[in-house]
Amino acid sequence: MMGRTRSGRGLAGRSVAQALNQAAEQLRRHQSECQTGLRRLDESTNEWVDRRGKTLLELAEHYLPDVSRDSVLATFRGIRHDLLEVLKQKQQRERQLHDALVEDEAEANRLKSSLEEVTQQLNEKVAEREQLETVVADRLKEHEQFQQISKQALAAEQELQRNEERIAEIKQEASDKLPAYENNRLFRYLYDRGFGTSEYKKKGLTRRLDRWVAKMVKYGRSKRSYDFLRVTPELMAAEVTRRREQFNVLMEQLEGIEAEIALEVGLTAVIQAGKQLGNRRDELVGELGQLEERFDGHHHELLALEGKQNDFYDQGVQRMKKFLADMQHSWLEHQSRSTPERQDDELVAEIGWLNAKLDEARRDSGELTKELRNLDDRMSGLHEVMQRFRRADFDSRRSVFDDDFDVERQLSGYLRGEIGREELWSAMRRYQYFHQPRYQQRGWDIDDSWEMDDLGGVLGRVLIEVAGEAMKHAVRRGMQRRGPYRLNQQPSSRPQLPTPRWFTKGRGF
Amino acid sequence: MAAVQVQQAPPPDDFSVTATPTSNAAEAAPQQLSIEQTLRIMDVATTLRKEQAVVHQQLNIEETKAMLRQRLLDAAKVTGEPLTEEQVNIAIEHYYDKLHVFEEPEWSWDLAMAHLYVMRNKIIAWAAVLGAAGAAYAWFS
Repeated sequence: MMGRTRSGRGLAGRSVAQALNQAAEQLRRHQSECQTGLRRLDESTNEWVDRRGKTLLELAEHYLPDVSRDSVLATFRGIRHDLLEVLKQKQQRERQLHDALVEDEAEANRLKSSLEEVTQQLNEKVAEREQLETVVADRLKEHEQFQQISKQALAAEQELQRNEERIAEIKQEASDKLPAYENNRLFRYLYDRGFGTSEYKKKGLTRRLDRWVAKMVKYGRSKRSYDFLRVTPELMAAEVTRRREQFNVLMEQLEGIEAEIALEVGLTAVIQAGKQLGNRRDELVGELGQLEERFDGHHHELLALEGKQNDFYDQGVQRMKKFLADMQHSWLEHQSRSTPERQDDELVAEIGWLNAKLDEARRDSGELTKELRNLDDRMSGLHEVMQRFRRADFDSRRSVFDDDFDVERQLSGYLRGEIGREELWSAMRRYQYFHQPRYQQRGWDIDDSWEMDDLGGVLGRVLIEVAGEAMKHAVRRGMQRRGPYRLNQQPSSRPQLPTPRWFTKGRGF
Repeated sequence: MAAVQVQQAPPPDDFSVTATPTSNAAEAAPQQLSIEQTLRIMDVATTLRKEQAVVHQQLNIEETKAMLRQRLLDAAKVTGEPLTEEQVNIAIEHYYDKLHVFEEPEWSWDLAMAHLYVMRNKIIAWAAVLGAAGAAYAWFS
């Protein structure tokens, strides 16, 4: 929520992280309930399928002619065996996936615990850094040489700014005015043959006529104006480059003073330690993200096994089709000899009852699978939001959510499917902000603080305090100018303060 | 950096020659420099100094304008002309806007002749081509 005024104490980022974890836990419980229901249905279905198979076998034994009976029964037993084999393989894969999910969960718990630990240490380092930054800021404000050089640097920056504006102006003027010279045939004729320079060698009548043409276009004055417009912007740009170097030298001196004090008070060591911890946190966040993706993948596959979109189902269907093709001839024979025996009626009735039970189970299973798929999508979306949340350091101690942010409402809306993952994340980003460092000055809006923390942290803020609020823009521009140099500065024997000040890739530590 | 003579105010209508350093001058030992070579080096130095002055003046154009404004106001006071600061500002901006604008010569027979003169080589070439074509036509017809 850039640029907004913060009011109230807000909701801690860690509380929102906990709410996200609880929502994930809730989803997981719901998924587990659905899976248990599906497993029970599966068991009943298996039992009914088995019974139906046996009944069909009895029916086949009863009806089929002696000649073909052996072969058909063999086929029938074969298909039953094959289907049971496919089912066994499917169950085996399901067990593997269940084991993988358990392993994923254990690994996720381990990573989360490490992350928690590192985050705690980072929060402490951030507090330490802020406390030391305050000390550095106080020392800088009292540093006489720093004050003197900072005034020179800011004056140089202001002049650079004016110079750059002037160069843009004169470049525009040149591009507006030069075409008139270049498009004039008489002027170009004289200019191309070097009239008025040592290169001009014409004599006699040609020289007299060229002079006559030159008078017509006021060549002397025109050429000087032309040269002025052509060359001056480049000369000015070269001069400004030289002045920029002078400004950089002044800024390097200021940064040197800052780095010396930072080293003296121990800020440099804290930043280095913090950066190591920050790298560790970034690694853990990355690993956890990968693990969650793997977990979602396993879950997705498990869900597919419970539905029709899997290899085992396809294999079963293929085997059944082959069986039916083999059966066709015998079946026709059976159809041709209908008998009025009583035993077959009972068998047919049992098959009918079993079929009805199987249809019912299929319906229930379809609903549960649909529900599970929906939960799976929600879970994968929630994992994505949690990954973004961690990558953006929203779980740091400095992270706060505005009072207006109703995390319960947002999350329950998401779980009910009323809002999507992007909307949830967008709401979080809108209401989230980071507490400013202790040395934050009054009158800074959020954008300013962000930018200054990115650009130079303590140095930029102290420069404003030394030079006065009126120089705020000059300081910002100065820090912007220095930004690339600071980031690309080579290691040297002089003390250097690591930049940027953030410990992680996000902005929370 | 190009050694080109530039200046702010409109110069007189003469055709001065810009000095260019030669490699011989740069290679010769100081005691072996001829007067001509020394003068050339001096020329380059002068050009650089003038360029520096122009750059400085252009980078501080607002100061130049302020100075000009003050002079004009002072002159107006002396002459008794009731000029306001705003009028002076407009006049100065107008002056700088028009500065370095190429002045197209007004149309006249002289100007038309001048155009023909500077295009003489092209005209002669075309005439030669047409003449040759006419002669060829007359010869073969």
